[in-house]
Amino acid sequence: MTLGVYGLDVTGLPKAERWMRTLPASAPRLRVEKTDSATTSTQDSRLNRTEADLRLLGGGRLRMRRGDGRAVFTFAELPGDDDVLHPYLAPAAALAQLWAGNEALHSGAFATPAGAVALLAEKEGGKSTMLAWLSAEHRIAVLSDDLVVLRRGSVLSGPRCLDLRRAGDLGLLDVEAAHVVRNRDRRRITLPDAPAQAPLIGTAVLRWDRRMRLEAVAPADRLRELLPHRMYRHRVSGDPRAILKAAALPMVILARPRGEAGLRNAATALTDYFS
Amino acid sequence: MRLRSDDLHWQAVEGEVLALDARTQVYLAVNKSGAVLWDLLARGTSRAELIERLVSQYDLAPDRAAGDVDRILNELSAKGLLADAERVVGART
Repeated sequence: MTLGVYGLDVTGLPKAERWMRTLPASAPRLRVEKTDSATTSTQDSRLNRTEADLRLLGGGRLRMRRGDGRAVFTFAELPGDDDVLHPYLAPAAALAQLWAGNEALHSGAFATPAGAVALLAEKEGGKSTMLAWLSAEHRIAVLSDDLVVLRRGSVLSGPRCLDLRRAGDLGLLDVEAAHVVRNRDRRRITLPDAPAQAPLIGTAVLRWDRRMRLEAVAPADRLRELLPHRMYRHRVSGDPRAILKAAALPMVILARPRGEAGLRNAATALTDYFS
Repeated sequence: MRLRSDDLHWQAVEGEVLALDARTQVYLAVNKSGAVLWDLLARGTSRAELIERLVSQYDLAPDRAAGDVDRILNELSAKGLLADAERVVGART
C-alpha cells in the first residue's frame, strides 16, 4: 500500500500525508518537487500533449512532462506541504491523469451507498459549502472538493480536506476543527475518510435562485453542462468516452437561495434524489 | 457516406445520441429520429438508404424524408463529422 490522492501515489509532501489516503501500491507515482525563486516567470501558460508550463492562480508555476512522473512547482514564497497538496496539486493530478487517458473535471464529488455524485458549480457557486454540509450534517463521504478524476467510470478520492471562504460560508457550519489557510482567506476542514474510488452514478449542477428547485436535465442538455468543467479540454484530449458516459447518467439542476435554509433544503433534496 | 471514425465519439442515451468531437470540443445532441440515421451513418450507408429508412420507420412521404435527410447531412457535413463530405455534397446536388 501507499499514500496519495486522485489515484496517484504522491511523494515529496511528507507534511501533508495526514490529508492523503491509502492506495494500492500499483498506483502511478507523482513526485512533487517545490522550489522557491524570487523571479517566478509571469509568462502565459503553455500546455500540449506532452508538456505543461502553467502559471498558477495566486502565483507560482507548475512544470510537467508527460510520462516523467514529476510535478515541479516554483513559488516566490514557498507554501507548506498542506497548501501544495490542496489546492495546488489539483492541476498537476489532472494533467497526470489526462495524459494517462483518464478524464478530469473541475468539480466536487460525494459518495452515496449507490455510488459517486459529481457536483458542478460556477466559481463561488457554493460547491465547497454544500460538500461540507453533506459531510457534517448528513455524514456523507466527500470524495473530492476541487477535482474529479474519472477512471473507468469511477471517481477517485482527493485530499481529506476542503477549504471554505471566510466570508459567508463559515457561519453556516460548525467548524471548530477548521484552521486558517491561504493568507487567512479561507478555513480548512478535515474530511472523514472516504472510499478510494466510487462508480459515478450521476451529476448535480448547483445554481443560485430565489426559490429551491430540483429539475432533471434532459440528455440533449447534459453535455452543455458538463463540457465547460472539463479541465484543459482544448489542449489535452483526456477520455471523451468518460464524458459521454457521464452524460448518460442522471443529471439534475439544483437551484436554491443563499443562506442556511436554502442549503439545508437543497442538501436534503440532493441526498433524497440520489439515495 | 460514413461518420468520421477518428476523434468522434458518441453514446446512445434514452433513444437519442450524444456526440462529442474531440478535435473541436463541439458536441451534438441527435433526437430519436436522427438517431435512427446515426446508426446507419456509423457503419456506412447511402443517401437513398437513409431516405428509405425514414420512409419505412416513420411512414413519411419520400420527398419529406429526403428533405429531412439532406438537412441532417448538411449539419453533419458543416460540423466536419462525415468522413467523405465531398460525396455527400455531390449526392445532394
